[in-house]
Amino acid sequence: MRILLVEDDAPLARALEAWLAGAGLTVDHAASSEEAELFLAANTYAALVLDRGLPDGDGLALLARLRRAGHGLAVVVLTARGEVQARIAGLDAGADDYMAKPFSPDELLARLRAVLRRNGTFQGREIACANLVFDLDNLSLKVGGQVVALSAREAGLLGLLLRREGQVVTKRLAEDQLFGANDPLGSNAIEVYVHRLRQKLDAAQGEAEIVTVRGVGYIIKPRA
Amino acid sequence: MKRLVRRAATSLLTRILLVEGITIVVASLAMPFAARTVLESSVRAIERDTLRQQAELVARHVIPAPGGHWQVALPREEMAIYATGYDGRAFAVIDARGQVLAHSPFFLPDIWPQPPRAWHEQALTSGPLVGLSVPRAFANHNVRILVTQDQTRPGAVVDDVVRSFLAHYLVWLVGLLLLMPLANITMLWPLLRRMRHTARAATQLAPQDPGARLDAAGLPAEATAMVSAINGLLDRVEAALALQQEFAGNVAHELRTPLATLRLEVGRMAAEPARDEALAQIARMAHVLDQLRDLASLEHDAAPAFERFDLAGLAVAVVADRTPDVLAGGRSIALFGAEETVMTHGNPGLVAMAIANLLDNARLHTPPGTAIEVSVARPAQISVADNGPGVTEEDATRLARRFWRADHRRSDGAGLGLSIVQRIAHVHNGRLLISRAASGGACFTLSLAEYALP
Repeated sequence: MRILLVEDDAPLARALEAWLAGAGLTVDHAASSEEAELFLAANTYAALVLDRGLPDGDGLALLARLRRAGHGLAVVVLTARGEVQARIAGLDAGADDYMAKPFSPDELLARLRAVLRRNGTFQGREIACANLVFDLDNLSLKVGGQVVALSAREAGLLGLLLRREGQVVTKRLAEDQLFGANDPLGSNAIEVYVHRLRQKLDAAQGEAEIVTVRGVGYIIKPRA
Repeated sequence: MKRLVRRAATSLLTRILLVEGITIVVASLAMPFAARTVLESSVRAIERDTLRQQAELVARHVIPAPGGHWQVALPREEMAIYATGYDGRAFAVIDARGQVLAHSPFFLPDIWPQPPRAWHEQALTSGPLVGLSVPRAFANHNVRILVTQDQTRPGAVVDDVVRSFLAHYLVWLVGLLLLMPLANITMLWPLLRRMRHTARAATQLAPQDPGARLDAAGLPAEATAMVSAINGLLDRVEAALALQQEFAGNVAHELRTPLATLRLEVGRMAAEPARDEALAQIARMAHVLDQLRDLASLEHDAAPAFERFDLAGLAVAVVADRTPDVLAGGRSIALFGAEETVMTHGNPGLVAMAIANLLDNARLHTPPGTAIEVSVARPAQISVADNGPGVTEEDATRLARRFWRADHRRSDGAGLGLSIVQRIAHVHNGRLLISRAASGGACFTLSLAEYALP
C-alpha cells in the first residue's frame, strides 16, 4: 500500500519514512504543497500523512483544495498545534484524523489503519487486539482462533470499541451508534451488552479487556 | 504622620494655599501703611491748597501803612472765619525782619519760634498747627503772609476720615483676599479629584487586561499630557508583551517537530530501560510544551468570547480525551455528576484547557494505582480529587505559583498546570480551591460560580 508523506522538516520526514516503511508501507515524500500536488497527480495513494506547517502555506489549505477537487483519499494531519480544544472539536477541513507532535509512531500507524478501514480502502477488513480478531464485514469474532458467537448488538459494540482501540468510546456515542431513534432504551442497556461481552471474552480466555470509565464510557485494551 | 506632612508639603493645593496665605498676611500689613501714606500725602496737598488760597485772599486785601501798622481789610464773610478760635485759623503779615505788621485776632506769634525766612512758599508745622508762608511785595516792602490752621480741631476731619476709611478698607481687603483661596479650592478640588481617580485607575491596570488605558477626560491640559504619555508607555509595554508571548508560543510550536523526530528515532531503538526513560523524558517535554502553549494562548487572548455551554458534556469529552494516558500509567479515573447537563457561562475552550491541566496534574503527581475522581456540580463547579499522598497546607499556598512543583526531586510535570488553571479561573471571575480529599489525597476545585446562570 502506497502513502504520501508531506512534511518539510527533513529529519522528521526521514525518520517517519523509515518507520512507515518498516511497517510495510510504500512511502513517497513531498516537502511542500506544490510537490505534494505533483505526486498526487502522478500516482494513486491510499492515504496522505500531511504536516500543517509547510513552506508554501498551511497543509489544511492543500487538503481543502484536494477535497474540492474530489480527492477521497484518507488523510491524517500532523500538527504542532495540538490544543485540547482542537482535538475535542473534531476534525475540520476534511481530515480523517488529527495528531499533535510529538506523536507515538505506533499510534500514528494505528490511526492510519483505522482511517483506511473507515474509508474501505484497507485490504483485509479485520481488526486485531491481543488474541482477538474481529471481521468488520461479517461481524464475526475469533479469540485465539476459536469463533465466539455474538448477537448483532454485541458485535456492533465490540466493532465500535475495536475501531477506536486505545480511545474512550463514550456511553452517548455507543447509544447513538447501537440503537435507532425508535428503540426503547433502558438507562443501563449499554452496560448489559458490555457485561455480556465481558462474559464471552472471559469464557474464551480473551486477552483484551473492556474497561469501564465510570461516568464517561468504555475502552478496550490488551490485558496487562 | 511624617508621610502625611511630606505629602501635604508636596501637594499642589497646599502650596497654592500657603503662597496665598503669605500674600494675605503681607497685604493686610503693608496695604494699610501704603494706603495711609498715599491718603495722607493727598490730604496734605489739599490742606496746602486751602492754605494757599487763604494766603492769596489775605494778600489781595492787604493795605500797607508806612508806620508799621498795616491793615488787612477782608470782606465780612471771610473775616468771620478768623473771628473765632475754632479751627485754629489765623493769618499774619510779617516783614523781612520778622516784625508782625498785621494779624488776625487768634494769631499766636509765640508758637513760631523760628519765623519763616525763606523767600519762597514754605510749609510750617508747630505742634497741632500747620501753616504756609507765602512771600509778597508791596511798594518796596517784601513781606510774608503766614496762614495757619489747627489740625486737631474738629473742623479738620481729614485724619478721622482717613482712619475710618482704613478700618473699613482693611475689612474689605482681607475679605476679598480670603475669597481668593476659596475660589482656588473650588476650582482646583474637582480637578485634583479627577487626578486622584485617574491615579486609582492606574493602580488597577493589570496584565490580564492589556488593552486598558487611562481616561484623560476632565483633566487639566497639564495632566492630560502626562496621562497620554503614560498611555503611550502602556502601548509600548503591551506591544513588547505581545511580542514576548508570541515568541513563547512560537518556541513551543517550533520545538514540536524536532521532538517528534526524536520520538521516532528513540522509538526505533531496541527496547531497553534507557529507551523507556528517553521516551518518558520526551513525553514530559511534550507536556511542558503543551503547557507553555496554553499559557501563551491564555495571555494572548485577554478577553475571550463567552458563551453558554454544558460543563458536564465538556467534562465527559475532556476526561475521555485524557483517559488513555491515565490508564496507561496504571491509574483509574471516574466521572461523577455529568449525567445531566450543567449549563454555565464561559469560554468552553479555556475551561477544557483547565480541566485537562487538572487531570494531567493528578496523573503526573500521584503514584501508579491512584484513583482519580472527577465531579461536576451545580452551579458551575468541577473538582478533581485523588487518593494519592495529598498536599500539605504549606504546599497548597505555593502550589498555584508558576514553575513550582510539589516534589522538586520528581522529574515529571513542570508545575505550570495549576497556574494555567488559576489564570482561567481568574478570567471567569471564579476560583481554584485546593483542599484535602475525603480519601486523604489532593482535591482541586475549579469554581466558575460567579457566571453560573440560575
